[in-house]
Amino acid sequence: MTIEQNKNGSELTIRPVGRLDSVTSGDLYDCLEQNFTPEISNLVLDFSKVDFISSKGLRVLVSVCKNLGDRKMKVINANESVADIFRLSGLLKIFEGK
Amino acid sequence: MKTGEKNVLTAYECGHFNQTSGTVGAPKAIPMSDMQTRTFIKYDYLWGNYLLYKNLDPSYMDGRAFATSEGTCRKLDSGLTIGCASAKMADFVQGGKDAADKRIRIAYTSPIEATCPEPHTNTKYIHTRFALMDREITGMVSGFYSVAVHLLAYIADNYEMLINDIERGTIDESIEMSDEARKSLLSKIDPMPERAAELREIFRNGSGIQFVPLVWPKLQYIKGVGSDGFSVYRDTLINSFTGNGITLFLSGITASEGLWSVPSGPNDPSGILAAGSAFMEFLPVDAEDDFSKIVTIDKLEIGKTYELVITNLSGLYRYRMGDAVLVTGMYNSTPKVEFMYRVNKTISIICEKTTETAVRQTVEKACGELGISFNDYCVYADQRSVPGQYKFYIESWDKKRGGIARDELEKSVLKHLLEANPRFRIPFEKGSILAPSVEFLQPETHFLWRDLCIYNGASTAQLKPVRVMKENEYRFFSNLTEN
Repeated sequence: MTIEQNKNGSELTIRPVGRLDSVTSGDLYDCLEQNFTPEISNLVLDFSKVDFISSKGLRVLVSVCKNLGDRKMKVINANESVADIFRLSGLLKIFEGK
Repeated sequence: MKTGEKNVLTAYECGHFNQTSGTVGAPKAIPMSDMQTRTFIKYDYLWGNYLLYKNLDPSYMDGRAFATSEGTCRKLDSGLTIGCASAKMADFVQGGKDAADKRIRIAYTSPIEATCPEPHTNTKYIHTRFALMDREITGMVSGFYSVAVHLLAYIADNYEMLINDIERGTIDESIEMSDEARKSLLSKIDPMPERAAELREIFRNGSGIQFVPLVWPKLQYIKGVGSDGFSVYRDTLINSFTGNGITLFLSGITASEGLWSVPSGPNDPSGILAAGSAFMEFLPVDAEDDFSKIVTIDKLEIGKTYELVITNLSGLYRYRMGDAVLVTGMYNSTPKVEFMYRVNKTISIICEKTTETAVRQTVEKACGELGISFNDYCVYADQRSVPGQYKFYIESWDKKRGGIARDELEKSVLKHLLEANPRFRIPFEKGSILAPSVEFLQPETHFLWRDLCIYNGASTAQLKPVRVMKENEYRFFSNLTEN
């Protein structure tokens, strides 16, 4: 998996490419640890190139949600099966609302 | 009743409503009269303590217990309360929340920020942090054994952060809680470099060890719901965390509607019927809803399975609990029962009615036959195509699972399903049901589901494991397999 990123002022867009599985989820976690710094107020996770998410990948997203505080986070372009997992786990409304 | 009107359903005073988790149906508010509360205390607290006294070394009284329970409670406009009954305690203690906290922590390690938490508080951290700080703990009290396993797994995954915090007297910034809760907790914490060094030594080679007796060398007992569907957690507790030296007390049958049995002794999954807690009737499960066959407690037969029907002290009249219990023997002249399965939680494609117990036995025996341990499981009756099929999902942290061929596991599951539920055979042999499929879930998927439910507002204390899946659960779990 590779991770593309783009910073525009206080908005950070992260675009993982490939499978977000038990091995690669750690890469996403590390990337967010390094780059989702306090001056970033809007985090956009572009899932257009993610074809699979594992339970570890979901855990990474949950841990980001838990540490958002007043900042905003949005997941965009998730494919139907990934969006379905977000929906079933109750995360979709958080990703769309925050 | 919720508006405070009296003499509705019952003449007893009713100041509280228990809120059910909704994991086995729509959430309900169930009245709990003051008389029922007193009965609950008599059986659960007094009898529970008598059993500890009778079966343990008296030194168990020298230390506190690592208690994992938590719940919230809110006031209605009428002044009555709704939520978790134990969370009401703070209302009764003179001095409010702070005084309640002091009283809780005489007997238990967890502070009130974990036992009666605000929304979006990382209670796993608080429970485990305060338990790790106390080397003298003598017991662990858990609503369900699944909660105990969940918290011990949290320690295994996060011991470095927890130890660092214990050493410095800090709370890691990533831990979610309100500023007020953080400030209050920090006031109860001092740096503990010696305890941190001791813990660091225990975990110097990682957490893949049975660390409980090392972390808490005086721990004598663990109490909680650990029979039937929870037995897998009892096994995980022993195999992964405690070893065999701890006495296990399995709680009796307790629900928001009341308390029906109390534990009979250590390591015994049967409970003694609490005859004075309600008027109990028993409908044989093979009676097919023929109420002319219902019997009272004195007519129970050892070896038979019955559905529990109760008339309680809070106004429920001939209420079908949906719990099937097996009569296992007698304690003096009172029957002993073991919870078997939820009557309405069977799975069926034709009319074969496979119970949760049969599902558990199938998974246990299949995994045992192939020499792998398992940590959780669930099943879905897929009727979207004809013939239908049972889809088993097994979660195993055992590295040997990688060497198991899927068709071998599926054959074993079929063999043991036919034994566990003989009614499966005829539709299977007629081709009306396919042989079951089996897939491994990714490790800790059940924990993830549980965390997500809590994150979405479910009560930790009441969450039950997913066994027989509903459609939405199936879609979630089937997307998180190892393949």
